[in-house]
Amino acid sequence: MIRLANPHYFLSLSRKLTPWLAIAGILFSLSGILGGLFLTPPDYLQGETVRILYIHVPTAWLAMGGWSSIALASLVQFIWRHPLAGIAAKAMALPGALFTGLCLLTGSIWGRPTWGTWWEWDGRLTSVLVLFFLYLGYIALSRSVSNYSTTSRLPALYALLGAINLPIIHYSVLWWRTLHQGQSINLTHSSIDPSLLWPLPLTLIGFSCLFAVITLFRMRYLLAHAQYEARLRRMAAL
Amino acid sequence: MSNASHQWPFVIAAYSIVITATIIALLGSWYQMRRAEKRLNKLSRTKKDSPRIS
Repeated sequence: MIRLANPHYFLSLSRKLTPWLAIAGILFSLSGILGGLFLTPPDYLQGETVRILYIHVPTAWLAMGGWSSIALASLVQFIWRHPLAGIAAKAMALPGALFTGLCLLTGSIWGRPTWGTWWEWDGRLTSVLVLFFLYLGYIALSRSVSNYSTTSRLPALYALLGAINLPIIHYSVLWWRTLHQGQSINLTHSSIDPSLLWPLPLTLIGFSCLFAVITLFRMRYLLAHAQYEARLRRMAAL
Repeated sequence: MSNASHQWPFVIAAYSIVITATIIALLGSWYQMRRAEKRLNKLSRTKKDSPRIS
């Protein structure tokens, strides 16, 4: 953990890790997508539209996982003043917002043939929309506080407060039972038949690896940009 | 939900959006990183090449 705080160590580790994560991400995602599209049977109730599950669930997982990671990095930034924690949180905001937007879009596309509507102000849908706006707010705030500064604590505080929305999203299907179905998978049990379920872990792992690759690319971009700015300032001061 | 041919366009649309957006995000973040690292290296070289005034 302390070793990772060193940007040079982080950069060398990230350069080694990125190709492996990218290969794993592409292989797992592709096999899950192909399996989900062509090798699983249609659902007896939802028909072919059930195939959207294999991309909708990973996007939802990454939408919530992204904010959880931002909140965790913000906590580390608050407590230990870890130099890379602030950069990691900022780097995850854009892919997090992207996957939240994709979760809303795929959910809407799935909802049209299944529920007969593109959108409903249902508890789950609304709380995920709130998460999307939280991401946009975080991106705007972290850019406006000071350009790529790692020391500002305001975005970290915002991220920690925004984490209140995560249990609301999780329990929304229990608190407000409207259109969105309840939880069908947990750590020990699944109400989905195994013949339909097997591509889901593949796309979950694959998209998580690709999210990590995007985050590492963005971290390296933010570090290079911060170093460039610092050198320019030093040169101007001479 | 009986007409399967009416359901496929929804499935294809959802997959196309997710795959396209993921590829754009991957390539976009890679390009942004490469450009920033190249710019930093260029600045480091310029700094080394410039004559020292003492």
